[in-house]
Amino acid sequence: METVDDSMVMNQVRAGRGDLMGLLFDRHHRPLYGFFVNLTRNGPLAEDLCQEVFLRVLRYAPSFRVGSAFRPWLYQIARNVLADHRQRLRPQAPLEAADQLADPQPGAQALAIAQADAARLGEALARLPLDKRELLLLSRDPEFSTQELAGLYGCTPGALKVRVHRALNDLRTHFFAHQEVMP
Amino acid sequence: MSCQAFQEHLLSGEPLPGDLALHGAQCAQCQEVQRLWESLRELPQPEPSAQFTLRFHQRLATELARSPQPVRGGWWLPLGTAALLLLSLGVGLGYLLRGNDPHLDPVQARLQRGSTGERLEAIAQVSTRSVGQGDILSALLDRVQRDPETQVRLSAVEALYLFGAEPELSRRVEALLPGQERPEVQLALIDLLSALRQQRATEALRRLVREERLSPAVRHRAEQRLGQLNL
Repeated sequence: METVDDSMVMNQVRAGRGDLMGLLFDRHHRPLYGFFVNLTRNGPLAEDLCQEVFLRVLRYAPSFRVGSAFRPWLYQIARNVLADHRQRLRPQAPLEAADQLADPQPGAQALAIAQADAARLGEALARLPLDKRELLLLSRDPEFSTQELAGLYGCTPGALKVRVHRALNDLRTHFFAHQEVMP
Repeated sequence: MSCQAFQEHLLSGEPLPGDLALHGAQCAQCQEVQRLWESLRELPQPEPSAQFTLRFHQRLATELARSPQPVRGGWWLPLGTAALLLLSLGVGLGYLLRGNDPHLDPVQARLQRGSTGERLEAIAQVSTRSVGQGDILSALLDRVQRDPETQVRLSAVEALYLFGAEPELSRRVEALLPGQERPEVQLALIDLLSALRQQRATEALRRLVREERLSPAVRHRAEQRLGQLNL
């Protein structure tokens, strides 16, 4: 429960109370970290990205609109951080390929996916292009409304549903293709 | 077309209308998609490493020390502050007109005498005020100590983060710990103390872990926080 609304805290951050970033970090870093881990399958990288998001929240605090919702703004920054990270990697290898080919990192190992279905789902998800992976993870976040997500992607709710439908079908293809080769 | 309509409807989270439910019952592909859609919510939610929070707070402190944030923003910033101030004044005036004690700050009055909902609302209102109002800080500490509702106590602890710059806050939070009988509030206070990152917090946590009657969960959290502070 958040009786002290995030937007109000953010208003104080933009008015110079940078120390209140700790409160926003405490509230939001776990789901944001989970989002990055499920996207990148790399725990240490997810921590770096997560930290960068909150530092950007501090830096860009003046651009936060009074009265607007904090969480969609936070995840917009998260998407930008990820896009910048991919941009930096581009001369060497695209992030999608790196994800699929890389050995699991120590952080990812620690995730210890308990059920075989969940493990297969994670693998199928990793085979999707990053933008579809990101869309599916955000669309399954109960804290986001369809309207907020559509705002995040700059499209109508109808167009968002079509994108999710396509991403889901791609996920299904990978999930069951993977199942067929399993003994 | 039915498959697309069925799968697009999943995003809404609303119950399927009759025709789509019928389609879903007969279409193996849509059942598979629905199963995957539901499984996506069950994906593991990993926890960051124990050092991550500490590293972030250290980095934040460096960042703040390097470039203390000036009051930035355009012409809308003073307007926003003024709007919040007017809101506070409006609520306060409403209380005075309703015949409450005119000598008592309206927020304090609601914190002390309001219903559970009014007390929670008053705590939320604190974040719209300028920091440094000692009476409000005392009222919040009083709620943490005495409020009959755990929910209100926890909200008051959360609001105390806004007073992090108060030099005496750590000592006053520490003073609340021994008398606090509710484990979830104890945990919230430990988190607050650890966020304050002051020497007094370390001392308070050391004293707390020596307490024999401490519940295992509280002891574990206190030891964990102490380990982070000592790094």
